Amino acid sequence: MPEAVIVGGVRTPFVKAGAAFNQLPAQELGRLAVRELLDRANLDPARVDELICGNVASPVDAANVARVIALRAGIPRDKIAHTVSRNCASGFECVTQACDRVVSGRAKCVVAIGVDSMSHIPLFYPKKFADKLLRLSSARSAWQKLKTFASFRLSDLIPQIGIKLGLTDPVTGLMMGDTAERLAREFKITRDEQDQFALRSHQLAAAAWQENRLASEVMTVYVDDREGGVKPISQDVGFRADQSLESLAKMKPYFDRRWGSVTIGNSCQITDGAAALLIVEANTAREWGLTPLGRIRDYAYAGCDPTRMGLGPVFATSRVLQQTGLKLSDMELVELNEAFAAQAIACLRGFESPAGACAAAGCELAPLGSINLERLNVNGGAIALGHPVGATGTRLILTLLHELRRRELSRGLATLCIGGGQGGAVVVEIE
Amino acid sequence: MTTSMADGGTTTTLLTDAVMWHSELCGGGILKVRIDRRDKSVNALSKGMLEELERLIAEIRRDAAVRGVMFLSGKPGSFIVGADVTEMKKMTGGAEATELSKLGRRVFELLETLHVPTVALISGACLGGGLEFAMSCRYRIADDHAKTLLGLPEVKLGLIPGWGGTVRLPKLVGLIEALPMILTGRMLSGRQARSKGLVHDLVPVEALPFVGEDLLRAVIKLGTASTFFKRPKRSLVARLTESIPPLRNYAFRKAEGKVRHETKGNYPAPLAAIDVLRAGFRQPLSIGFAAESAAIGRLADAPVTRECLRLFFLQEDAKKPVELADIATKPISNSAVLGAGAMGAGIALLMAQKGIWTRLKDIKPEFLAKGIATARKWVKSDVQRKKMTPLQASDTLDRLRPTTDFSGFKQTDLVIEAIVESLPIKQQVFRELAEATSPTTVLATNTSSLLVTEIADGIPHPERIVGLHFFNPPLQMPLVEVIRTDQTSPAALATAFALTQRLGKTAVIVKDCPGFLVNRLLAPYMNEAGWLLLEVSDPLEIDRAAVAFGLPMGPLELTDLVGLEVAQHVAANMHSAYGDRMLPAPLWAALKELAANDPKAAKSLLVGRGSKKKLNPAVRKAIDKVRQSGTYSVPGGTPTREELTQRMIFPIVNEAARCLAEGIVSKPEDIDLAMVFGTGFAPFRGGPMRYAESLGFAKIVEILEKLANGRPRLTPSDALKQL
Repeated sequence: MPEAVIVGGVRTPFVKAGAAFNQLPAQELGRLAVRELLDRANLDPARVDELICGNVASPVDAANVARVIALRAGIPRDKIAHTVSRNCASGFECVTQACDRVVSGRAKCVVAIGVDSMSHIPLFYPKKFADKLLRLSSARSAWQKLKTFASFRLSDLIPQIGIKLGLTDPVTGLMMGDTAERLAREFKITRDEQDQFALRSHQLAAAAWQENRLASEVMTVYVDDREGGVKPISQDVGFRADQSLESLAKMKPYFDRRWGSVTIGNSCQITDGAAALLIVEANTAREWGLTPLGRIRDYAYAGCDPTRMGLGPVFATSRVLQQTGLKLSDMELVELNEAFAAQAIACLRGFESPAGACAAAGCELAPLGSINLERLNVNGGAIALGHPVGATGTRLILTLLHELRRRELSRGLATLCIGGGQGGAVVVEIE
Repeated sequence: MTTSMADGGTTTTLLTDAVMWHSELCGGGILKVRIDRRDKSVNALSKGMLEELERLIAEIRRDAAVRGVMFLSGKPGSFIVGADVTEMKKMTGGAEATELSKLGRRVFELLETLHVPTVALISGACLGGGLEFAMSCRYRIADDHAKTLLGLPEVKLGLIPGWGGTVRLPKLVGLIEALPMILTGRMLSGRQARSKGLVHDLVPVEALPFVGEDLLRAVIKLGTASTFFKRPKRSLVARLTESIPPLRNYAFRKAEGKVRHETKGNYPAPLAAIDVLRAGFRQPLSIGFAAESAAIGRLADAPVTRECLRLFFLQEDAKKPVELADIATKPISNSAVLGAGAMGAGIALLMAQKGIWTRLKDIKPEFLAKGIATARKWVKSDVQRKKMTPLQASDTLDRLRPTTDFSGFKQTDLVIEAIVESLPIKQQVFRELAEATSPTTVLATNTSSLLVTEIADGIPHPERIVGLHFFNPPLQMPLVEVIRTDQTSPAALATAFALTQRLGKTAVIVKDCPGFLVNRLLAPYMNEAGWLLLEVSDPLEIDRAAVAFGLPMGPLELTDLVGLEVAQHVAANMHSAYGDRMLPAPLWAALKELAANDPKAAKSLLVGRGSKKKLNPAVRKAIDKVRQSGTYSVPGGTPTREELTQRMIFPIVNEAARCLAEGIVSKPEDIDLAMVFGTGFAPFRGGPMRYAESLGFAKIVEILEKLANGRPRLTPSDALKQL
């Protein structure tokens, strides 16, 4: 059976929404990352069989954004491309699908890219307003037109905020933050614990950049500045080296304003970014002179209660460990996505004693063990670096591979929770 | 009507022996005419082809079955490229040209007054006589093919449109739009042509024949197509200007002033065009036509026209150099440029525009940011000026990828280095390049002052190293010198040459030598200006003499443009390379000394603009100092304008003869081409070699011998004497 290896990876800086990447839509971020990926591998784009893109906030002007990215990156027209969405795990989904393609022999070389521009999530007119406009345009007589016109209300013009809709679970009606509040209460996670965790994320990210540990995975993006010039962006924008616990503690809860503990400060940031991996069949990689960065040993997705979607990593990790016969303690580094500090801490507790998690999910899990914080999100997580939804999964794998290599370790776990009540987990290995 | 059998099927055709106008009568009385010269690769209108069209029109008149005619080119990417220039080359004089003008006009008038509707379906180049043909059809539909261009470029050959173009174009698009098209040969894309009303509609490539048929059917049925098309609205200012005679005269005077300023009176064609437009605008057709024919006769006799035509042919010939015949080249799809300065960024953008994926490398992101900013600015202005669509712009910029390392270089077919002019740095970079690229990647240097051979010294696979000397600014300047060393392989040379053609440049192959061709020939000219400054009483007379001769600017202005410091550096380089015939004028050393003491004072030779332009007082001081020092005794009084011209131009010819003898270029025409397109050297004189030939080489030798008295640097070379 063919084996898939990851031979290269690169990401754009992750930049908080509305900042330097404000003018770069997902297709632009994506094509930048993909072409840089191919350039760094010195790979002729014609050798790419397929491109798979994980993306959540589908740009309205680029349906199947994967195809747009592939063509704009110079991948020939006869190659295929499709876009996948598993909400927050879209960046995993593109990678795991790419590996499956190679393993099944359907492709030799696949580009997996996760990308989202949260700056570009549009505002909508309410559907009722659109309906009225439609009626107006189809009205024949002057009387009909007048009647339709008279039905217009000022409130019709209040836009619906796309990003808010996107972050609300349509089945349960809860916002993502509400699910984190629920976990905070059920796992008795204090506000201070959450703020401490957030502070840690900022400090680790700042240290990682300070010590130049992330530069090798990040490309420079040249953006137009306001003065008509061009500015190189080579670093993530969003982490705060000077973050203090006091200022985190001062923030008002955002989702449950009166009784809650989840704030903007201890949640992930809204961010723009792209991350790409090059996945090639092992023998082909050797033939082309490409050195593997590592490989995906196995992966798993698992479903859970949508109102406790943050616990997804516990179930997914449990499944992937079962599949591989490995133990949580075999994981030398762990990247656990920080959607919310409360959610991440809940997962850590869930790993130790899944009883709480299981009570909610109605299933039984054996305890997976505890994760040494020294091995967790060692270069900071989404609270500091941000969470461009579709790109995060890919970034976790990329960062994990780079850090394992840097530390000369061989095995790690990347896992994240998925809005809607799922979890994803990927075990990576380095030869 | 004749009926012929072809492949067993019956088709009705009006001319059985057609060379260019292949007709086929289809259902509904629609005659499809395929324009497709059997004897040529392009559709060009010669006398014979016009006569054939005349016969076709006569047949159409005679044949009651024909109810509408559509004209469609059988050559993809080219409709009718204009008059047959090879025929023009053979033309003996004005009378013959006037005859041809009258013939074309008569045929196009027959076409215009045909009793059935006609439509020109324009895909590809529709230029000169081609557009005049199309304008004589009742309807014109263009497509959105990238090569679809409409224009009247006759003025570039020293002529004006001779088949009614000067009359019909203003009628269609208005005087204000017609003027720049006729006076400068500006061309329109299909989109622009529609918005200006030159064509009735713009359709996708594949729709052209179907639209033509539908249109004719509708017109045959309804008698008109006015329901299809709306004439584009023209601005009130333009309409008023054309309608009110004093305003119209003002517009003409303004255009004339501009032409005189730009051509300095050296080119009669645009002025003749203005006269013809003036005579014929809003007058009965016959008056305009008569003025046109008369002007054609006069222009065809002018020597300027002959030189413009010759240059046109030289340019065409230069596309296929003999030395590169039969050398197959791989098409370039991936390239890289080192150095994101104005030169590097310009070359990189040019390549990206032409569809080549280009990696742009510099050592710091900040430098790259500057280069990328410039490139984006250029692209943006192209979009604003409708020279590029927003999609083409993003395509172009997608192909241009900045980097600070050599990643992606292994894939490149060709790399152009445009970094700082320092031999050790360039050698170091070429060593790195040799490592970062594949052994077959062609490595080109854009150096202007170093020897390619020296840069290539010690680099593995030196056979793939060439020079590609672009002129600044690379997006606009039409010439590229392709430099070969003794080691350069034919394949590498051919690849580099093919790139210049892809970029739409005129290229000349030059053997590696200090200054290559153009700068080597300019060196004695610019240096002589330094000597002349010591002798003349009115320094500006030097520049005036050069401009009057036909150079775009004088040597003093040119020195300031390249920078005094650079000019001094080049002068010293040339002296060490070529010895005392390039002995730097003592003024340069004096200025250098001055600059050392007071860097601000001696920055340029001239100060002020326009009528306030004068010699920099600091330079004046330096001149006085040199004069007083007595190191240079002035032979004779202040030189006359004639002597000034001779002393500046003849050294160019003298050095050019040496270049020929040394085999720097393979033929004298290359020198003319390089100087005209690289420096703007008097195109109406045909370039330095052509000019020298017309004057007589012996006479130049004689004058140089006289001038060399007390100035050994001007001694005529043996090479010149042998010409």
